[in-house]
Amino acid sequence: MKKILALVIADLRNIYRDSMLTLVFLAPLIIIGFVRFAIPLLNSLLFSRWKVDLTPHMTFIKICFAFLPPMMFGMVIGYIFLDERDEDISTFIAITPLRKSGYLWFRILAPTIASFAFFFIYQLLTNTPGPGVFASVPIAIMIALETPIVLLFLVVYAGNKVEGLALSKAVGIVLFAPLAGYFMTSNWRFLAGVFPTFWVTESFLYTGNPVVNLLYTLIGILIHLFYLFLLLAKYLKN
Amino acid sequence: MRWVAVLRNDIRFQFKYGFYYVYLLIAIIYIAVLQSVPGDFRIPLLIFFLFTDICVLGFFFVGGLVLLEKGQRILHVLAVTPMSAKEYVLGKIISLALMAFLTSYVITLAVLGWINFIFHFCYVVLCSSIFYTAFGLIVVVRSKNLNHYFFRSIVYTIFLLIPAIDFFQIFQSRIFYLWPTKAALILLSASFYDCPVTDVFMAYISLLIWMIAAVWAAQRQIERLIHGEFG
Amino acid sequence: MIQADELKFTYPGNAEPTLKGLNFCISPGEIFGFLGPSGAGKSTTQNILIGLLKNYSGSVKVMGKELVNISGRFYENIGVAFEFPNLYNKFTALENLNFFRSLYSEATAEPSKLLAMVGLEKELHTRVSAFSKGMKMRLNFCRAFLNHPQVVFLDEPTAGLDPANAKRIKNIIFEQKKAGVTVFLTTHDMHVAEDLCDRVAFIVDGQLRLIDSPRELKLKYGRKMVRIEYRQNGKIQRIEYDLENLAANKNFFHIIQSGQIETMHTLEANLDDIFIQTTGRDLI
Repeated sequence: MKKILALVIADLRNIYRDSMLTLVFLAPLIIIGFVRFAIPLLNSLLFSRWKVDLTPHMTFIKICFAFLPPMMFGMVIGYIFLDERDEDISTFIAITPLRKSGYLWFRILAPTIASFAFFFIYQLLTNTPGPGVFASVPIAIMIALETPIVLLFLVVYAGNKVEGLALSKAVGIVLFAPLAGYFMTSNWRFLAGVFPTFWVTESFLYTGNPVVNLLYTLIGILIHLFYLFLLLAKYLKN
Repeated sequence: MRWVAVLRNDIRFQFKYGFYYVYLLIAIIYIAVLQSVPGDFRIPLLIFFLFTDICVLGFFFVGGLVLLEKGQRILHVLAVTPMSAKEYVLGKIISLALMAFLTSYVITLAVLGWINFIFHFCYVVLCSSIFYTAFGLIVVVRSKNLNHYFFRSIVYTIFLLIPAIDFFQIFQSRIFYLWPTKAALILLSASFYDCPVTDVFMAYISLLIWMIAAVWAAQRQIERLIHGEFG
Repeated sequence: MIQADELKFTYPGNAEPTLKGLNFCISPGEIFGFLGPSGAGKSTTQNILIGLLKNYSGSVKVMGKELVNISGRFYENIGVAFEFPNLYNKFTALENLNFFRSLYSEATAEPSKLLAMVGLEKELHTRVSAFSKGMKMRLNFCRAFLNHPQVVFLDEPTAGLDPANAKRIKNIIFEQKKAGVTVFLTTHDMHVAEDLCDRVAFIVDGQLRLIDSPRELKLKYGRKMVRIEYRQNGKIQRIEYDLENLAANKNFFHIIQSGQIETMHTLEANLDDIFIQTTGRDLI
């Protein structure tokens, strides 16, 4: 326990020194502010200029923005791993009494919990119409799981921080999977289901239909866990 | 012709780090998305992708490139070769601008099959990529790691996004024409639609000045970084 | 080849100067050892000599050029191997050398020959990330000779190397000296300095305490004596004689003739002792 505490303190000090905490808190706030204030403004602008009304799609748009901070948490922590690897610090921590595993779990769990909590705050502050707090839990779980998936994806497949940046660009592609699900009507859209994000929006949009909702939520959670354990196994093997 | 060698190396490195594969993938996705939206939205959405992602990619990547070279102490060795800070900066800037240009061009041709005003298009894509890469070089000099780099860039980004006030019609003024972001947006629109000549002219001048100033400052900052004034 | 007059340097923000007025002169083809404990100003001096730190006062000239005024061309004739390897880990040994090679306009050495010189000829296409620390050091070392430099700066060139490779590195340095290359060697390893250097300088607290050849120093600070250990009646005896009248010393000849000598050494000092004697410091 004492060791974990020492690690938490060291990490917090690190975070403070790198102004990273500010980044981690500020970015979600900026996203919330954008969704809350800028999107309605943009909507009225689009309507007055091109007679386009996004109002029917608002729920969908709001969920899409909810993906950003959890993915960003994963990237921020992923970059810490990569920076440390580039500078050979992680091998140093591996030989301290805490060992690699304790250090790893803490680093992965903390941002995941933060993402979980974030979703409820986001829902509240942006007025995202949802299925109620209790029914939102499975959605929040899925969104929270994106954090360790992104984190591990970067750490497992990037050789250094530059490759980490390239991969985080590639990660951004998963944000298009919900779009395919939302706009495509044929069953081809389920191809986008290989991306975990697809199931989050699908399950959220079908809250009116309990059977479909339950099915999509179950598949979604399973897909998230599948990627998580796949990446975790790859990480631990190295 | 040392800068050609430097540029060739930069491009080869970026290829090895996977930049080109990633942007090939991104181009394919963007093309697919743009092909599937209704015709009216195609150009505005294309401008959005060019403006928020492809023209800015230099900023995104250059931080990592320099931090990695800093971490591997490569900058010290480069400093004791005949290569100058200018050549170092040119290599990074041109290689990333080239990548941005190729991606923009491929996406635009694949989606529209034409570009109305090709000169505007080339000018804005190249100049704004060069501006953002140079801007990234300025920020990275005092950054300790990737997260610090992105954090430090927030303040500057807020400054660059000030013309959004104009875009959202909260407060409209000609003063926003001074911003490089506004200039880039005008020229991106001017590549596809007819725009007032004065607007285009002002945007040309504004973007050029911003670009030259950023490159000049980047070169000075890199010089100082190499000569160890930041430790 | 290298000349420093009243060289002083203070890091920005420091009250105390790191270098407090150094004077030395290094001739072409000389191997000059710069010795001192860590923090004495060795790296600072080297960084000034290779043009990285410019805000010095006094004068330093390398190849006749004042270092404040150098341009990129200066580096066509300079080779530097830093203490810690600076390499692109993601790339192979050959790719690394080819990259640095492309930065010079004048003739450069063949990478495969350089790698063979340090025993890495089989690792041409191996990524540096797969190298051991010693291999990285050797690659880093041979890169300093890529541009056929007239002056090379080597910082702890044998640190972390096994004896066989350390010997290989020393031989290369001798070869280069024979070819007329001037070598500025920074180290805190006295044995390396003793083996390699024509002259050594001791730096402590930003000041040079002494400059001389290792041979002269050993004679000057040693005692002119010979120590003999020999066996007499099964017991080891030790005796010291003055070198001066050795030819007339009958006892000395007696011991030699007895055929019982086990060891015989002149008592010149080693550089470690001299360093402690002259600076009052240990070399760590």
